[in-house]
Amino acid sequence: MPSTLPFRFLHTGDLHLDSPVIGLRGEATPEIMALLRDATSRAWRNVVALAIAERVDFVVVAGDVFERSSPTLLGQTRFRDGLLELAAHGIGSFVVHGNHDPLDGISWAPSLTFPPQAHRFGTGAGESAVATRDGAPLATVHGRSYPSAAVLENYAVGFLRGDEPFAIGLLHANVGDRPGHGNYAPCSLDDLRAAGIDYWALGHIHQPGILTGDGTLAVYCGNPQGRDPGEMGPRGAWLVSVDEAGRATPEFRACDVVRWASADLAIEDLETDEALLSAVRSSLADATDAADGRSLLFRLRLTGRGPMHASLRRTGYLDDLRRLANEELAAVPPFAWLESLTDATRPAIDVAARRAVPDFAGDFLRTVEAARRADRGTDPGEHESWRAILESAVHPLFDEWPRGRRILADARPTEGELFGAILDEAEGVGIDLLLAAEES
Amino acid sequence: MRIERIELDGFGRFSGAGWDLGPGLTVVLGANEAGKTTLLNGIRALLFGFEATRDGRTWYPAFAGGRRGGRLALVTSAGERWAVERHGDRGGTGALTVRAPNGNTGGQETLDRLLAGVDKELFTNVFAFGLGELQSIQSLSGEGVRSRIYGAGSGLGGMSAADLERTLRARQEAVFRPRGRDQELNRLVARMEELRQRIAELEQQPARYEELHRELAELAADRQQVEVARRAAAESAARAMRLTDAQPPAAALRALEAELAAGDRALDALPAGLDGELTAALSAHEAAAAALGATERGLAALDARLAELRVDDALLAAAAEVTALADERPLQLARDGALAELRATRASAAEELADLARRGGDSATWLLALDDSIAAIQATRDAESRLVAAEARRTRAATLAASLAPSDHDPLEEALLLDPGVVADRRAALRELDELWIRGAAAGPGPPRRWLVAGVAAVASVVVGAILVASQVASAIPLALLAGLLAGLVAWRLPQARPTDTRGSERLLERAGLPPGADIAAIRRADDALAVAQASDGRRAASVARAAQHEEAERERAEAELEHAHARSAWDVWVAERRLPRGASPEAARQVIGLVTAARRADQARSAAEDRLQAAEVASAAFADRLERLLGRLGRPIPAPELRAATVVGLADALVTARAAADRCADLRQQLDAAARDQAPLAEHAAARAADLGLLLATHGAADAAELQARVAAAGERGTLHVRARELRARLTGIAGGEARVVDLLAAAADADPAALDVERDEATRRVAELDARGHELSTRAGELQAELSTLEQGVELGERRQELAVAEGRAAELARAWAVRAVALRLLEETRHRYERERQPRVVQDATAYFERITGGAYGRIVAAPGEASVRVEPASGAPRVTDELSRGTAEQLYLALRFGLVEQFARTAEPLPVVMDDILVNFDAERAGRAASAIRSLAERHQVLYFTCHPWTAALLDPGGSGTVALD
Repeated sequence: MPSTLPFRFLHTGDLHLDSPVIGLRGEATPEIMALLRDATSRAWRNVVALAIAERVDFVVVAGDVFERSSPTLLGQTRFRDGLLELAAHGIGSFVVHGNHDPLDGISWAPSLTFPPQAHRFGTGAGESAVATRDGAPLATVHGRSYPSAAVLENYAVGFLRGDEPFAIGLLHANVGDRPGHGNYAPCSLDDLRAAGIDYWALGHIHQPGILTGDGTLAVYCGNPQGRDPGEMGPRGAWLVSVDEAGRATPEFRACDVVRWASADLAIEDLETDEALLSAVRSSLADATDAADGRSLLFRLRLTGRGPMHASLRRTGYLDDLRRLANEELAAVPPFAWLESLTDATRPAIDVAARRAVPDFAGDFLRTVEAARRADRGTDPGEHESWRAILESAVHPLFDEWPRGRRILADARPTEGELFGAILDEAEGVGIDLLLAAEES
Repeated sequence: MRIERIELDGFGRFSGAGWDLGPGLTVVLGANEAGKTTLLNGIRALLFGFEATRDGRTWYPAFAGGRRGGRLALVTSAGERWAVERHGDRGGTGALTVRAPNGNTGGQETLDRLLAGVDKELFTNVFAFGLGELQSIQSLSGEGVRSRIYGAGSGLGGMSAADLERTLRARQEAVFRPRGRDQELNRLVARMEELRQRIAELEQQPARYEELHRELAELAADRQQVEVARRAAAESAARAMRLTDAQPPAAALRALEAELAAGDRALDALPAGLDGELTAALSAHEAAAAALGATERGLAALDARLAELRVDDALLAAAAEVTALADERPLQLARDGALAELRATRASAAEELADLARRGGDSATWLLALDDSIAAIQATRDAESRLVAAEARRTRAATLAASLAPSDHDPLEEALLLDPGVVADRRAALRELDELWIRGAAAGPGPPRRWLVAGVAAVASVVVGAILVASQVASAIPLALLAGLLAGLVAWRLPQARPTDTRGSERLLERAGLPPGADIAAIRRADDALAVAQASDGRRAASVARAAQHEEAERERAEAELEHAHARSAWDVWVAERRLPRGASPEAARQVIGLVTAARRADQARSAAEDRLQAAEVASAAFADRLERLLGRLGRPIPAPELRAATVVGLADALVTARAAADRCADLRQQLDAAARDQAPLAEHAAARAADLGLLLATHGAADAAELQARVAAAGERGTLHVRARELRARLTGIAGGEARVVDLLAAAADADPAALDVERDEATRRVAELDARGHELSTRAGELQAELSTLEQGVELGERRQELAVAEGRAAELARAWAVRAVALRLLEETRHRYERERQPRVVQDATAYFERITGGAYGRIVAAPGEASVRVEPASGAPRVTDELSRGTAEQLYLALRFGLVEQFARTAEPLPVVMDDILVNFDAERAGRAASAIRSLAERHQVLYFTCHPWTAALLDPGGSGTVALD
C-alpha cells in the first residue's frame, strides 16, 4: 500500500433529519416534545461540531440524510447549513443518498445548493472524488447514491479502487442480508473485501458497529440519534484516524441528544405503593446516571409476581405511578423522562394449579388454554373456531370502524399476536378480574 | 342457630306475649287475624328493625298495649345463647341490645356478625317469606339474593360473570366506542386524521419554495428593466432642469465679461496685496517716529526727578551704631522695668526672714544657725515616741490597778477574803444580832412611841411657826413647816435602827465585822454574804487571785511612772543642747526646726535680688553713655533719661528714610543710562521706515501715498467683477456636471426655449414617478417572496405536526393494543360463561333441582340458572326447557320454593344456619305436591329450625302429622 499523509475524517450517516421520535406512549411536556422534535437536527449539529473540534480533514455521510423523500425545508436548510459550516472551517464533505432520501424524490429544493466543498455522489457507478489537504491528495472517496428507494442491485461490486493512497467506499447497503432492515443494495462481506477498499463507510443499519477488521474495515456508522424505542444506547459517529501506512483506526464518539434506555423491574419484593414508586424512581435514576449527561427516554417494564400486581391493574394506577416518577427528573434539562411504564406482572398465584380448580376462574383459565392448544394443535377446525372467536373480539375496532380501518391498520394484531402475546395478556386481565371478584 | 323463645312486649295485636320454640319444625296454627303474619313480621322487626311509617300509619303499632318491640332468645349450633332485644316507636332500627353468652352487650354490628351478614332483603326473601314473596321471581333476582345464588358455586364471591363482563365492557367503552366522540381512542384517531391531512399540505412546501424562487427571479428581471427606463427618464428630466437652471447665470456671466473688457486692463496688473503693503509702510513710518519722540521725553523727566532727591550721608555712616542701639533698645527697656521689681523682691525677702525669726522666738541669726538636719528632726520623733510609749504604759498600769482594787463595803468580797473560821464566828455573831433584833421588835417602842415623837415635832413646828407669824415673817412659814416635818421623820426612823440591848449589840457588831449602828438590813446582808462565802470555795479562790493581781498592777504602775520620768529628763537635756526653747515638746521643737528651711530660702532670695539689681544698674548706664556719644557726633540734642528709648527709635526711622533716598537716586541714574542707550537705534529705525515708504511710491509711479491709494481702489473694483464672474462659472459648472461641459451648457442654454424646457422636464418627472411606483411594487413583492421563502426555510410546523402524529400514533397503538387485550379477555369471559352454563351448575341450583324434582314428583329434572342472568329455566322430564313465564303458578311457586331451599342449604354450608319462617305458602299446591312439599320441609327441618304459619289444620296435619310440633295461636 502506498504511503499517505496522516489524516482524519468523520464517518456519519443515517441522520434521518426531520424524523420525529416515534413510538412514544406517554404524553410529554411541551419542553420535552420540543427537544424530541429537534433531536435529529441537534444531533447533526453535534456531528458538525465534533468534526470542527477534532479538526478532521473531511466528513463522509453514508446516506439517509433525511427521513423521507419529502423532508421539510427546515431540515434541508439545517443540513445545508451544517455543510456550509464545515466548509467555512476548511472541511470538505462527501454525501450519498440512501433509500430514505433517493435522488428521484421531489424533496430536494434545487435552490438550496450545497457549498462547493461538498460533493454529492450521483447514481452512476464508478464515481469518485478526491479528498485533499492544501492541494495534496489524502484519499479517494468512491460513492453511489440511490436513484430510488428500493435499490436491489449489488452496488458494492461496482466499487473498484485505483492507485490512490487510501480508498474509502461510501455506500448505503445491507451487508449480509440483515433481518429487520430493507434489503437494499444487498451485498456480502466478500464483496466488500474484493473491492480493495481500505475503509467501507456504510450506512443503513442504525446500530453502529464494525463488520470486519481483517485488512478491510467495514463500519456501520449508525444513526447519531436514536429515534424510537428500538434504537437504544449511545448513538454517534466514527472518528477515523489514518496513519502514514494507511492504517485506519475508527473511534466511536457519541453525538446523540436524547438517549433511549429500557429496563425491567421485578415486583416480587415490593409490597407497598411507596416501595414500588421508590423502586421505579431508583430505576429511572440508574438509567439517568448511565446516560452520559444526556436527556433520557426511559421505558420500564414491571415484571414478576407480587402483591402489587393487583394495584397495578387498577384503572389509572400505572399512569399515576408514571406521573409521580416523572415529577423529579423530567422537569429540567437534561431531563429523564419515564416515557413508558408497562405492566407485565402476573398475579401471585400458581396459574397451573389454579387452572385445576373447579370454579369459574378455573374454567376461564382452561378456556384460554384451550385456545392455545388450538393454535398449537393439528385440528384445523378447532384452530379456525378459536381464530374466529379472537378475531371477532378485535373486529369492532380494527375492521368495522372506518377510521380504525384507515388509521389503525398498523396496530391491528396479527393472528400470531392474537394467539400469542394478546392471549397471554388477556388471560392476565381476566384472571385479575376473577380473583378480585373472589376477594370481594 | 334457632330461636329458643320469642317475646313481644307490644307489636300489633300482641302485648306481653311469648312463645317457646323447639328445634326442627314448629307449625303455628291460627285462624285468620290470629296474628301469624304479625308474628312473622315481629321476628323480622326484632332482627332487622321496624318498617317506616307510611301514609301517616305506623307499621304494627302496639295497639294492644305494651312497649313496642320485644326480644328473641337465640341458640347457636354450638349451644351459645344470645339475646336480641329491640324496641322503638317509629320506623328504623329503634333501641337495639344484643347480649352475648358472656354477658357482653352490643348493637347492630354484633347482630350482623351473628347473622353472618344476612341483611333484611335476603332474610325476607329467602329465610322468612310469605306467599307474596314466594310468588315473585323478582324477589329472587335482587342483587343480594342473586349474588348468593350465582356466586355461591362459581367462586366469584358477590359478583357474577356477567358483572365482570360489564365491568370490562365499561372499561372498553371508556376508551373506544364505534360511534363515540369523547373516548380517548376516538379523539386520538380523529386527531391523527387531521394531522395527516395537514402534513400532506405541508409536504408541498418544496414545490412552493421553487415556485417562489422562480417568481423571485422574474421579479428581478422586471426590476432591472424598470431601473433602466427610470434612469433614462430621470436623465431627461435632469437635462431640462439643468438648462432651466443655467439660463439666468449664463446671461449674467455674459454681461460681466462685457463690463470687464471695457475697463482699464492695466489695473489688473497691480499686485493683489498692494493695498495692504502701502498701509503697512505708512504705519511703520509713523510708529518709528512716535517711538523716538517718546524716548527723548523720558530722558528729560528722569533728570528732573534726580535733581529733587536728598540723602543724609552722616547718618548712613553711623548706621551700624544706630542699628546696634535699636537692637538693644528692647533689652534696655526691660532692664529699666526690672530695677523696681528687683528692689521690691529684695525688701520682701528681708521682711519674710524677720517674720520667721519672730515666730521662732529669737533673732534671724539664731534661727539660721539652728540644726535642721534630718537627724535632728528624727531625734524629735524618737523622743516623742519614747514619751508617748512611757505615758501609755503609765496610763495602762494605773487603769489596771484601779480595776483590780477591791471595792469598798462589798460584804461578799470581804467575806470571801476571810478565813473560814472567822466566817463561822462572824455568822454566829450575826445570828445573835438577828435574834436580839427580833426580840427587841416584839417588845420595842412600837407605833405609839413614834406617833408621840412625831407629835412633839409637830408641836415644835407650830410653836416655831407661831413665833414666826408673830414676827410678821410671812415668808418663813413654809420653812417652819419643813423643819417640823424633818423633825418628825427623824423621830419616826430612830426606833427602827437600833435594838433595845445597845451594848450587847455593839459587841456583836464588832465581832461580826460590822460598824457600830449597823441596822438589821446590814446585819442580814452580811449574813447572806457570809453564807454565800461559806458555800463558794471557787469564788473565794478567785477573790484571793484578784487581790494578788491588784498588787502586781500596783508595782507595774510604779515602774511606768519611773520610766516616764527618765524619758522626760533625756528630752529636756537634748533641747538644751540644740539651743531650742526650754520646755518645748518634741512637736514644738520640730515646728521651730521647720522654720529654719524657710528662713534660709528667704535669705537666699534677698541676696540674689541684690546681685541682679547691681548688674542692671551697670548695663543701663553703659547704654545711656553710648547713645549720648552718638548723638553728640550727629549734632543732635541729648534727651532726658526717660526719652532715651524714643530717641533710639527716631534714629532708626531716620536711617531707613536715608537708605530709601539713596536707593531711589541710584535707580534713576540707571534709568537715565538705559534711555540714553536706546535713543540712537530708534533714530536709525525712523529713518529707515521713511526710506521704505519712498521706495514703494517710486516703484508704482506715485507721487505720494494718496495717489497710490486711489489706484489701488480702482483695481479692487475690477477684482470684484472678476470674482462674480468666477462664481457664475462655478455655478454653471455645478449645473453642467463638470467644467468640460460648461461650454456646451452655455451654448444649449442660449439656444433653448424656456417653455419647451418646462414641458420636457414635467414629462420626464412624471415618467420617473411612474417607474418609481412600479419599482416599489416589485420590491414589495420581492420582500414578500423573500419572507415567505425564509418562513418556508425555517418553518417548524411540519416537524411539529409529524412529531405530534408520531406521539399520537404511539399512544393510539398502545390504546388499541390494550383495547384488543381487553376485548379478547372479554370474549374469553363470555366463552367461559357459556361453557359454564353448559358444563357446570352452581351447587345452589343443584340442591334446588333436587328439591324441585322431589316436590314435582320428578315432573321436572333440571333447573338452569345461568351466571349472569336473572331468569331461570327448567327442564321437564319430557319436552323443551321452559322459562318461568311458561310455568303454572303452582309449579312456579314450587320452583321458587326449591330455589330458596337450595339457597338455605348453601348458606348453611358456610355460615351458622338460620331459622326458616314460612307463612302459608302451600295454598296453591295441589294435594300431591303439597304433601311432597311438606315432606321436603320436614327434610329441611332436620338441619334447620323451621317455623311454618298456617290457618289450615290440614296443612298443619300435613306438616306435623303427630301434632307434637304444632302450636296453636289464639
